[in-house]
Amino acid sequence: MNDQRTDRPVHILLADDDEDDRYLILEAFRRQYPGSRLSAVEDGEELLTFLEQRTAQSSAESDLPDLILLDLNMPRLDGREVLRQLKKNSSLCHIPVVVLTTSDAQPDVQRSYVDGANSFITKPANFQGLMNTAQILWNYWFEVVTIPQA
Amino acid sequence: MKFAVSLFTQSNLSRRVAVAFLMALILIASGFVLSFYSYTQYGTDSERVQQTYQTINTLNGVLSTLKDVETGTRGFLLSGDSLFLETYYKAAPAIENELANLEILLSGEAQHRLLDTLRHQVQAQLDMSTTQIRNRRDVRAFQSHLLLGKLRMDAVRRTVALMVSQEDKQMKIRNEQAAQSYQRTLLIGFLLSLITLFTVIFAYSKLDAELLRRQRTEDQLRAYEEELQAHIRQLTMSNEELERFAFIASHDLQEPLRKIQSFAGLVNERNKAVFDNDTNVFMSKIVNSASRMSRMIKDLLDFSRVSSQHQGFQLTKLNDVIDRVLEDMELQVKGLRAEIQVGPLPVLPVIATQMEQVFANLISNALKYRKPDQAPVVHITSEEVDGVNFPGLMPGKRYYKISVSDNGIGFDEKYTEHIFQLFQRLHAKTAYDGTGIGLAVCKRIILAHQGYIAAHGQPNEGATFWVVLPEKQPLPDYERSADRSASAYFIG
Repeated sequence: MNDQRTDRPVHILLADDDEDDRYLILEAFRRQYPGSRLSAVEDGEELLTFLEQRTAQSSAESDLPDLILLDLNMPRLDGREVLRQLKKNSSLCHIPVVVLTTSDAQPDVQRSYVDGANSFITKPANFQGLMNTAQILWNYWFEVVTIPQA
Repeated sequence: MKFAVSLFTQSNLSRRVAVAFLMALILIASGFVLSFYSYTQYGTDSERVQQTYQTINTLNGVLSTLKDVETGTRGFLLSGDSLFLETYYKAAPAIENELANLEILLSGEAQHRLLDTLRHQVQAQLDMSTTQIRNRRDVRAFQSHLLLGKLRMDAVRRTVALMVSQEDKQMKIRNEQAAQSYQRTLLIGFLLSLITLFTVIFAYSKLDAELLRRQRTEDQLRAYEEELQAHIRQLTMSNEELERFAFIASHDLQEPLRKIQSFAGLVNERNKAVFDNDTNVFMSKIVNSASRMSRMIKDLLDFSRVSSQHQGFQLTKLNDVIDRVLEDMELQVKGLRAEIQVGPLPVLPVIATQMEQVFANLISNALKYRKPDQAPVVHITSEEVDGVNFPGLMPGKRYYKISVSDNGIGFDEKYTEHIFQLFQRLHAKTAYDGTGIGLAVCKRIILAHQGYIAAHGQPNEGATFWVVLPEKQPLPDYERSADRSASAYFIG
């Protein structure tokens, strides 16, 4: 199921402070796409550090994720601020960011899109829903849509 | 009742104060009149005294002129020198003049009678003088005339003296009267001032008491108002807190539920094959319960959101609202072969989306609780009503009552209140789906519209729900709703 455009596996980065959610979301992707590469961080600070380390390396060995799944409410640096910083950073702003959060409040949705989110998803209530979401996201971002090469 | 009584006594009191002041005013005015009267009276009195003196002078003048005439006549008779006649010639017109003056000056019939006598006596004296002057040579006549002249002069003197004494007496009487009336006036003036003083003191004390009482009432009212304001602020605050609480709690409650559902799903996914039947049933019970609770929390969230809308009242054709609702329910209506008859409905200031929610709830209830063997028939009608007939509505204000009645299974009248409460159901959830929040949301929406909602029904006889909505909405409370949407809950 690897993306035919590159010879390396798809890399998805998840930022979520909730351990259970991290497990469930990654498990859903693992089930659907065992070959994918999945990373997880626990808050915004960690996410930025993770990305900075990878941009610092030479571009040939660049190991930036292909898609970021971002929770909004996180300790230290929350998703909203991270989103703004990502979109301001010229070497990171091309990475699609999907907000994956508990909220379904309109102000959250609107602000996220204003800040540059590529889509906004309210966390599904059960595991089956998560698996469906994982499949849809994969199909959309890695088979339908063309994204910048990492 | 008590209020009415106090109002009555209050008006009574203010009337009493007004009467007291009016009385004081009248008293002061009478004081003025009295002073003026007394002043003019004094003027009249002194004028009269003046007049009396003038009268006495004139009388004495008459006497003296007459004496001059007599002296002159005598001189002429004795000496024959016509120089003595000078006074005689002057006297006649002077006396006439003085007598005419007396005519004016004198008052009283008695005095005028005396004046007539005096005039005759004077005339007689003058005539006698004329005769004497003419018959100077007649010595006998001269002697008799001398005696007669003295007698006549004495008569004139007596008359004049009588008149003067009369005038004196009159003056004395007048003076006494004047003194008396002056004293009386003084006394009345004093009494008037005294009464005025007391009246004013009385009125002032009453007024002061009244002012004090009003001040106290006003203070009390202000205190009540402040208390009320504080209560309202508190209520508003706790209401807002409650709504925020409900919202946050709902979100936070969703979180563990989502995990229960997700992990249960994950367990199922992995172990479906190895689970026995019972375990599968138990697992699905866990999932279903969690999902039901999740729905209830979402409903609770909807419920708490209802009151957080204070704006958006717009004149809306309720017929359009019903049309939209029926459009959404088209499949269901067709599937049940339901007949829905909508009469002419009013145009009212409502939050259209909330009204859609209300009527969607009422109509779907009517369809849900249908009789199993009968196609549902729903009537939606409207009539104009007065607020006086409904608890909590404003009497005298115009409202519209919109009824939604069905031919379904109905309900026992004793549950009328029950059905509008949160999560209250009349039927097992296995028989009829739902969380029991629909009517509670309806009620909250209608209350937010300053309206009234009620229902009545009989088991197996159908049910009627009616919504009473005001023709006009009070002005929106901008202050309260201002930061509501802005501060809306950011939950991740």
